[in-house]
Amino acid sequence: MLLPLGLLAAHAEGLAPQGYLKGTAGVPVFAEPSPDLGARLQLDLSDKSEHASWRVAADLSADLTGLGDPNEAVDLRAVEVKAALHHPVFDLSLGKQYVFWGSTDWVNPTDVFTPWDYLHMSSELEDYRLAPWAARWTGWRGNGALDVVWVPFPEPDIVVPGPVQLPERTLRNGSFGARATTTVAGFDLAAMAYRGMDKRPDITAVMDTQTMPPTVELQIRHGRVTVVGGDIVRGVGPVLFKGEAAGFLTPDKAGDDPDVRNRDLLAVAGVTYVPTQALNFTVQGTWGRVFDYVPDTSLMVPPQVVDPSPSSVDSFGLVERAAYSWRDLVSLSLVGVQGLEERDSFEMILLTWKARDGLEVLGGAILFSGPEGSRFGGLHEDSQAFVEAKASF
Amino acid sequence: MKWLTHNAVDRPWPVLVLMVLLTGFFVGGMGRLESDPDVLRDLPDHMPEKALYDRIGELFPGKEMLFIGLGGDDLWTPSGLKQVQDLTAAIEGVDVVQQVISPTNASVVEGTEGGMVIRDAMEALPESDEEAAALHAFLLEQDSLKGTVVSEDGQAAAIIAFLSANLDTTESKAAGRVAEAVEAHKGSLQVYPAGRPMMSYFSSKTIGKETGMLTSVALLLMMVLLGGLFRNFRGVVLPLGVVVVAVLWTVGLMGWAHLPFTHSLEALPIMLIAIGVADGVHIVQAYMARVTREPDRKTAVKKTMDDLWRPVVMTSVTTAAGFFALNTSGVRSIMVLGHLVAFGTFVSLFMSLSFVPAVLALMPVPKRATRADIQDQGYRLQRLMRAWGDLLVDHKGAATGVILGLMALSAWGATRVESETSLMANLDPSDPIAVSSNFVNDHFSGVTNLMVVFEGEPGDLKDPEFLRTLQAFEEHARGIDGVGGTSSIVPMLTRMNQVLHAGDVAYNRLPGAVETEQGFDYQLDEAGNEVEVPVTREVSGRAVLEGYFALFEMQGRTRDLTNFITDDYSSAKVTVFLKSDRKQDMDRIVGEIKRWMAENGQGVKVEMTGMAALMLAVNDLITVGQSLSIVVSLVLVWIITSLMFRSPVLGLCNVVPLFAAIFFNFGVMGALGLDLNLMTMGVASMAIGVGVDFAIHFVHRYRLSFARTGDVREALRLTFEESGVAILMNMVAVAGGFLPLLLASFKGVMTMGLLISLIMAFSAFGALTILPVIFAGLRPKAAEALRVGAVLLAAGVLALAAGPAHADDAAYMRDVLDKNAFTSMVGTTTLTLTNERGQSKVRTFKMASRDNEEGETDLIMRMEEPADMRGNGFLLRGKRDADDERYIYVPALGRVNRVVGSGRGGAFMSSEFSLEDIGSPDLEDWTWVLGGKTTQNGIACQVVTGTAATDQVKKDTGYSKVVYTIDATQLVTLKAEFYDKAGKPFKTLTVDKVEMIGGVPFATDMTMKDLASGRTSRMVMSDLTVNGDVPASWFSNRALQQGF
Repeated sequence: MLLPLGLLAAHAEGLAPQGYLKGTAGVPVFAEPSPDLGARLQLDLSDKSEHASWRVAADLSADLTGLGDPNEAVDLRAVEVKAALHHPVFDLSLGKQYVFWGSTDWVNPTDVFTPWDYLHMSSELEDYRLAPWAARWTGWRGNGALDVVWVPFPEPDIVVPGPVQLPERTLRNGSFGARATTTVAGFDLAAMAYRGMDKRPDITAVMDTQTMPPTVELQIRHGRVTVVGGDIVRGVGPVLFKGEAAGFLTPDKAGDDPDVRNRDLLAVAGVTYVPTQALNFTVQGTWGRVFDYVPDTSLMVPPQVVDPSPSSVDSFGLVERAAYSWRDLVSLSLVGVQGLEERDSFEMILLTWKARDGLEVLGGAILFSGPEGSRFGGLHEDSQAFVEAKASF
Repeated sequence: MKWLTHNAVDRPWPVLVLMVLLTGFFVGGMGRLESDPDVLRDLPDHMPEKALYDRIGELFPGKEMLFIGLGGDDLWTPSGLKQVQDLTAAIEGVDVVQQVISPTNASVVEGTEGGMVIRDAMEALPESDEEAAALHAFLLEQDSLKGTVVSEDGQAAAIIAFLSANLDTTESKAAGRVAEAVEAHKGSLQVYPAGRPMMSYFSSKTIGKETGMLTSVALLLMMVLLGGLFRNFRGVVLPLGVVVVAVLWTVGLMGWAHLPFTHSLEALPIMLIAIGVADGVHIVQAYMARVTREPDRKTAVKKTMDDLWRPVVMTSVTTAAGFFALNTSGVRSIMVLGHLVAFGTFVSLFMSLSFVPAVLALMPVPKRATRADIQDQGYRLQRLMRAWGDLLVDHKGAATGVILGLMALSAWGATRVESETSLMANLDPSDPIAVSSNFVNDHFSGVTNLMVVFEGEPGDLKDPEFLRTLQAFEEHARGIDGVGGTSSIVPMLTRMNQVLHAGDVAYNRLPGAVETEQGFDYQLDEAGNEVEVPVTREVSGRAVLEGYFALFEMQGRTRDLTNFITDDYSSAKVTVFLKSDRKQDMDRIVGEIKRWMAENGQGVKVEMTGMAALMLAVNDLITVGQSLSIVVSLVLVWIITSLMFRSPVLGLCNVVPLFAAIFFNFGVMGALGLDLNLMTMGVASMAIGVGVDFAIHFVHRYRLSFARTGDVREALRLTFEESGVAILMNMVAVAGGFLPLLLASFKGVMTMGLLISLIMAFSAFGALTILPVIFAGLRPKAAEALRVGAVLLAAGVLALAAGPAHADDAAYMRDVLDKNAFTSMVGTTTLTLTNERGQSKVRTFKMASRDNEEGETDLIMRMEEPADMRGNGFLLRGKRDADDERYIYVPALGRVNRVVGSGRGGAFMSSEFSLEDIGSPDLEDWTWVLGGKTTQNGIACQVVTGTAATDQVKKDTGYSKVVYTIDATQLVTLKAEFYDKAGKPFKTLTVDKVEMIGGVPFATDMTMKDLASGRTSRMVMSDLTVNGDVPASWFSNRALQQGF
């Protein structure tokens, strides 16, 4: 009921609703086959004047697999709800909104507010990134900008299995970050600092001795972290060089708290080569180093969850991407993210056929592999093949 | 050159600092400058007159003579004579003086009881008026002194000073020292210093002072005129800054190279000013015209320089070549003048290509250029010039008649031009130098002299026959009209002969071959006493003369002979004094003397030199040399401009106005009775330097305009708007600037000022009237035929120009690009992509572009349709010396990503257009060749083919060749054919609609077709705003995300 009313109101105000309607079908690749059917309608309303703008985008998703309880099968979720003031030298935006930081592909150490969610990777942004409620001030000067973001209350930024224990919803537990960008001699440079919730949650196994037999409960909580990092990009002819790094300063200064993430550094560097407009390749290397590492063999970690204490001091990884487009009709994208130590990986293949303007059909697969307990190995069962038909308006 | 001009724009301060340092270096050399007004020093040594003149210095201790005329009521009083005596002593005390002859120390021969004595005319200073009157009367009785140290009428006296033959300075400077001594000791007497060295000294002093002052006035006036014409500061500072620096560098170079300032070089600064202003004026004028449609000043400067560096170089090279042609003159100082003007011209060139763009880049855009009426209609002078061009085209027959009439009048005037060397003719009669010279000429034999040297074997002078030849010559010379007198040893000897014959006037002659002398012999009388007995004896004349010369030696008066005969009695010098220094008088006198020498010089070697002969020789040399160098210059200009324009016809077009300007110049000189001399010949050389500048700029602009429009009237309008205005400004500024020279007291300087002004006007007339009439009257076929004919004529020379040069073809293309250039654009583009099956997809996007501070293009696009691409954006920030910065924004990805291009050949928005196609081709990436004329949709078009200059260009653009069919009037591409890297036909572009938006012809509907696949992409642009105000903030990541 709300939807048609909203649309009518929008039309009455002279706004042209935008969005899409799509149907999806997915099947697990490695788990027991259980088709997953769904549909989604996104409505996106926005307006803009010289000094102000607003946007409301919401997804109405329906799980068509079981067609059981309609209250559970239908989900209405806000994608972005924000209002902004625009001044010649700054923007002030309030509401639920995306904040993308970083410049490398698929692995972004500095992307602290709305990081990648590989598990829910899809063609839609709102699936793999969660927009927080935030206040954002961006000052502009030439090609440079200073971006200041304040997320007043703790909130989850990725979809994780199990219950999420968030810090108390007080302003004291909010997150604050700033990022300065500029372009010097063809180099896009950025430096950032962040203090707030750790986007990689700690998962703690808590033994409940009140029960018989005692049970172990996994508690997922977001600790506080200070992140300092930066990124750099430079294009030379058909080659784009990218680098990004961030240091994560956690409360575990000694490195001996098995429940708290150690202080660490994550760096990414790579190149994108564009031999033709229709074809491009990206190769990146990642390097992670854990500081003050103290192994704790007594820790009991369920195999499905991520161990906050890595198993080695240094870790390396690779990211590859190849994309090809044929006459703006068909495009193929291959993405791989691998951890070399744990030999885990995320792979994605996406084939898109643009049947006509506003109508596309895509099919693909997301594959996780690796040993149990590794970053992607634990998601192995969630590997999925899917097809989508999408009509935009 | 382009590198130089662009660097000057991008890095103006280093350029200015370098210029200041170099200027400082050259100014340092100015302290070493020396002056040498001695024109004789420039004569080639092989010239007989010069060789003899130099040899006279070896034969006789004194050479040039100075005359100090003396007058006044108290001259012949004891006090007056005391002053003469003091003055004589003072002049004798000047180290450059070899001998002084005055009424007080002149030698007189007087008989005594014992025979004869040679003594000073005034042995003791008269103590009373009576004694003074007696001395006066005595002097008047002396034939050898009358007319030399005492005037015929007895009213005046003269002191003659012989300058040392071996001077350590110039004769002019030596005369200056004497003049200073005279000034210090003249007392109450009226003093009239004269003689050629004295005239040189005073005239150079006066001329130098006057020329310097009037040149400063000229510069100031030029500043005012340029300021009035340009109405802004840069129009004054830049053209004059160029010439001032050129003058400083050139004069400084003279100092460092120890090149003295000679008479010929006195006009050097004026020449450099007149010649050097042109390029600066053209550049500023072109900049002022361009900046009305190109608000970014650095871009405007760069494009102006891109457009003008070629003609600026051409004008400088031709001017320098013209002045190098002065090497044919044979006169050293003229050759040096040629080299220095050539150097100064290259300094002006360097300054025009570095200093001018650097300063323009630093100065703000003139407010006047942004006025709406100027942007719409151009400056007032542009409108005036356009109207003049139209008038000439409409009435080319009448204009031709006027030109031919003027040529005929000039021909008549030119026949009346006479060559003149007279310094006196250049002086006002009231000028002190003229008064002095006239005083000496009126009272004495004359100021100007000829020296005739009779050479024989040692002792020949003691032969009466030899001396009789001298005497005969003197008698002949004195009979020539205009000769005031002569001076030689003969009067002294005849006087001695008379005195020694008891004053018998019958012996006032040279001894004969055999003389019958009455004498006494001593015999013993009958008483044995010795008695005198009159006897008559035959004595050889030689023996008599030997006796006379012995008397000089015995009485210690050999100094009286030194400037007449050589020590070994082999040679004698006869000085002939002329009352006039006018060339026609000197020519006549010298001619008669030469005739006498030819008829009577057998058996004795007779040669002539002296100031008059030398000045005639100098004049002939310079006149002939300058005439030759003008011809050589014209030929050189034709050859060079033919090579540069790759057209002998256009080469001729450059020469014709030059020739006409010189012709008019001589015509006016003849009509006004102005003489041809060293200075006026220099103006003719200047005409080449100025005229070639005007002609090249005009021809260059006309050629481009005609190739562009194919219409004479339109091409002339465009040419007049830019080059015409600049030429007019240049002419007004320089001609007007030099008019104050008309106020000069020295007629030569005045004439020079007049002629410079006239030559500027004639050169401008040649470019602004004769050239347009030629262009308007030249039929294409005739032009082609003339071109072929001229090619055959010039084949021998032009064959040297190897390889195709397409500089002007590229310039045409640059004009096309300039015409289509815009500084900003905002609009909506609808792109319809149709595949080989006829299925279409439509993309609509908003697009904006602008020229950024680096002169490159920023571009932003944001998709509006289709829905699934809505909000996608692309941002390109152009960089001059680096890869462009490109960004995309895809809402589905949520962030701005830096991307790189795959060259300019990649498809634009998946269409058949590439980025190369939607932008402008880079001029330097292609070798442009103008093709034939054609029509497209009934519109006259010019075909231009561009071939990829490098493999990298092929790789970047995907094309090996492009063929544009360009609307010849609007200069907008109507059709284009693209060839792939292998050279095969690849795509064709057709333009279906062109709209004039913001003063730019804009293709708003065009279709690109892929010949292999048959796919087409049609691009239609709407809601266009061109050259509007597009903020830089639109080309930012912010606008990419949020829209603009």
